Amino acid sequence: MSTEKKDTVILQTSDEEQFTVEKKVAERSSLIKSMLEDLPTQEAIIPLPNVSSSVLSKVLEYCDHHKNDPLPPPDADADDSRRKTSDIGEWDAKFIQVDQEMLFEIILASNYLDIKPLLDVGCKTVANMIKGKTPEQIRTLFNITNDFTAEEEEQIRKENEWAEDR
Amino acid sequence: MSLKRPRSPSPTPSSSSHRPTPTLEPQQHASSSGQSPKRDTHTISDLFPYQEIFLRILSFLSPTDLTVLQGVNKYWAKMSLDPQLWKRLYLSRYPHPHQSRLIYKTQKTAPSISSTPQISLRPIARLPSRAFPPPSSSRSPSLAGPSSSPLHGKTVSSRRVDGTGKAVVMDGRPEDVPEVGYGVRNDGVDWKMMLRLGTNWSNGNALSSTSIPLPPSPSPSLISAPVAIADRPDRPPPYSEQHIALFPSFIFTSNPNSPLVHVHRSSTSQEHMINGAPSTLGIIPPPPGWSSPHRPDNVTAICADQSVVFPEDEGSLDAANAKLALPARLIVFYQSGGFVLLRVRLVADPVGGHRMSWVRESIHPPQHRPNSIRRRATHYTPLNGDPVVLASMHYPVLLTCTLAFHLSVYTLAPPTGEQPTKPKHLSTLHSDVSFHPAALSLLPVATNDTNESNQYRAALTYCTPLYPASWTVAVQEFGVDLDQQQSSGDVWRGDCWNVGVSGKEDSDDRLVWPRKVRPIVGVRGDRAVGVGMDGRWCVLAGEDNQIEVYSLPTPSPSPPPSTPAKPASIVHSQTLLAHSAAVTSISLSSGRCVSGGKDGRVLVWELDEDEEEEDGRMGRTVGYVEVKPGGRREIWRGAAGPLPPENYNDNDNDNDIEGIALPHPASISNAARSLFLPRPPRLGPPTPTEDRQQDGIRQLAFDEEKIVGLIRTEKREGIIRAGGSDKTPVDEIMKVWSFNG
Repeated sequence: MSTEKKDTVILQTSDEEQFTVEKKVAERSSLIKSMLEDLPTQEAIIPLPNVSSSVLSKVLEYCDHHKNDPLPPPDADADDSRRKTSDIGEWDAKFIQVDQEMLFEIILASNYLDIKPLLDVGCKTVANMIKGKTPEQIRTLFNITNDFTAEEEEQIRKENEWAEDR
Repeated sequence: MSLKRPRSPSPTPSSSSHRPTPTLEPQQHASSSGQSPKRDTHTISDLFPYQEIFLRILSFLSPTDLTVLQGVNKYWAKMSLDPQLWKRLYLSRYPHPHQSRLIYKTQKTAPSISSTPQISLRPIARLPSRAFPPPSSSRSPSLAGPSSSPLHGKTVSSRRVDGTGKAVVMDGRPEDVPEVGYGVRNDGVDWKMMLRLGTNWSNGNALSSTSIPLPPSPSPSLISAPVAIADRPDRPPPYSEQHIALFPSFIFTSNPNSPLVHVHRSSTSQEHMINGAPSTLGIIPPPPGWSSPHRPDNVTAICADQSVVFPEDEGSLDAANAKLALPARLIVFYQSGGFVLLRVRLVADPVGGHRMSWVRESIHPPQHRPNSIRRRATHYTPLNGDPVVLASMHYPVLLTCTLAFHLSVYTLAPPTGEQPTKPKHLSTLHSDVSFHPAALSLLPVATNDTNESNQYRAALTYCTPLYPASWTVAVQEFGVDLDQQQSSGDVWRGDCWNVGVSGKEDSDDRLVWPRKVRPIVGVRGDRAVGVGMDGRWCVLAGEDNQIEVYSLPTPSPSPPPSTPAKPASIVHSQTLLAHSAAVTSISLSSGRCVSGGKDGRVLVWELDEDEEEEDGRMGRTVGYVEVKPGGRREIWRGAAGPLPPENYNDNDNDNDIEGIALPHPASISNAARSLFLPRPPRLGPPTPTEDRQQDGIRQLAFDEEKIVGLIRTEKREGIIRAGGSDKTPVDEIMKVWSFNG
């Protein structure tokens, strides 16, 4: 444990590919971390059946860059400070500049692997896409069909007048 | 909130995307974009079915964005109405220590501001109080759809715990999408509504303002009576222009010269309007035999029950009117000394619409005959007896205060069958040093686990004279401890606080000369206009345009020790100065102060917790908003302590810009003045109000959702005074500003 350099884990993706990763990097994922705690054997192969290799490599890129960050507390959800801002760090912003497919995969993978900071980066990115748009713009953006009647729409608009311009 | 929510179903989509990519090295940049031909191309919109992820995305959005999302489609609407999202937004915008403490009910108190952490904060109010009725489908159309069925999950347990009442049973359609972690995320409080209400309050954004013409007084000769009394300062003026009691579903009013209580709807929605004004529901007369045309037993006070009442028959009204179904308990005090506890509710009328139904639950018999108006017409006789002018009720405890400051405590029992019960008198206390205006407050002591408490804290806030020709406030606390049956109990006298300086300064009793004497802050004038107390703050308004705010000390444990060590004192906290004309009415509840002025403005002040500064002075800025429809936040920030009038010296600003070296002499004298005088001197008479067209606010009352103000135009009053026109014009208008649409 003390010799961090030698500590590596092997991650196996859904497409049978194996990644040898520094343990410190892999432990950014709470899922892998808890799995490693359960399996003390050093050379175990950790199967990740829900993650493809292309996504995992992207995710590991993030983990490697952030490997020296302090780990978020386990109940980070209760911490509201993190949500106060939808700012994304400079490196993260560049990192997350991917196509929609990859963004989708990254968010799902980070959710599965339980990498909260990465999940937040992804969610913030999506939130920024939603932010400031009208319902119609959102529908076009995400190809959503409107299932409201005109009256219902009017009622919602009226109900939410208080929140406008803030 | 470290509750583990069920994780989203692990996505099969991602595992299905088998791509033989040649990325062997993890660090190698897999430029996946455009790398392989996309078969099952996923876009962002494929994320939204994963509710947990969707909610996380939404958690980064502002209230404005969330309300926009509600219009996208039904699924988005449902997700954007997630209670936890709104709870977080509400608490982040209104991190009121009292409220969060009450919400969370944790043992750990919020960051303590007081020196005694074990008592720490005074309770302000139960957050989901009687103004927050059961979660209603009418409030949001998207809740009314199939997505509302999660409310079925809310059971009786929640209704007892948070006091928000029943889960509204709506259509039994099965929900199409199961909600993630339902029981965790929905705590039965409509947080969005709370945020909306809070936002509207902080913006002064009254969603609707309606005027209700008040019925004229019985006869013109009686109208002139209070005017005549007001001209003679040696006679007590009528205690209030109009008695007002507010409920979530009703507004009760009563003219001091009438034995009748008028009931109005508080709802301002269109369906209840008749000719653009809310319909008056009816009139409640005094019990038979109490009043006659020649000996009217006039109402001296009415008082609304502060406890949460649940509707007894939930099926009587549909869900949209669940709020209206909330019954109201009202106490009406008559000049004869008798009072009546009424239970008023709306019942569905078979003909259509709703009508009011009321029963007398409890009757206290009259003590003496009411005066004959025939004799009163010829010469004035002081009120026979000692009418109750103030009351506060938290069922089953009733606290009354008479004009001569006899305080009585009663307990009220539910009626047995058809027969109304008689209130049980517990104790009567008397005060000789109190002066009107005064305010009564009655709060149940919050015990940790249950809301059912048998202990109550009451307080009388009253005015005391202050030399020279000024008034300040004092507070006398009481405790009411009921026994298990809630029929009898003890009444004990608690602390009495006067305005002074903070306690730590008193301990410094070294003989220093000249002694540093801090001025006691009061208001100047013949009388104080109004006082208010919410358990944490007390406010005092004088005849000028200033409102003084005082901070109450923490109460001693109950009952207090026989030899109080050194009574703490009320500390002046700030001066609210924004009205351009005299303040005419003030009301305070739950840290929110509403003031009305002769200039026709209604201002809302949020009194927050403040940090004590080094020198013991409460440094504070406070924001106010003016109530107007469509109002937006425009906060005025002022320094703590007394400020000179705005028009004092305008050239001071010019000197500030270039004045690097020396402060302007005027600013020094300003500072000196604020040190030596309890308030800045009156520089000339207050702004004349003759040229103003607005109608002054005569009297104010408010609850969680609305402000009710009484407006009487000066012009009309003049007519009455001059000749007593027999046309009986509508001389009083009640205006209702609703913050909840």
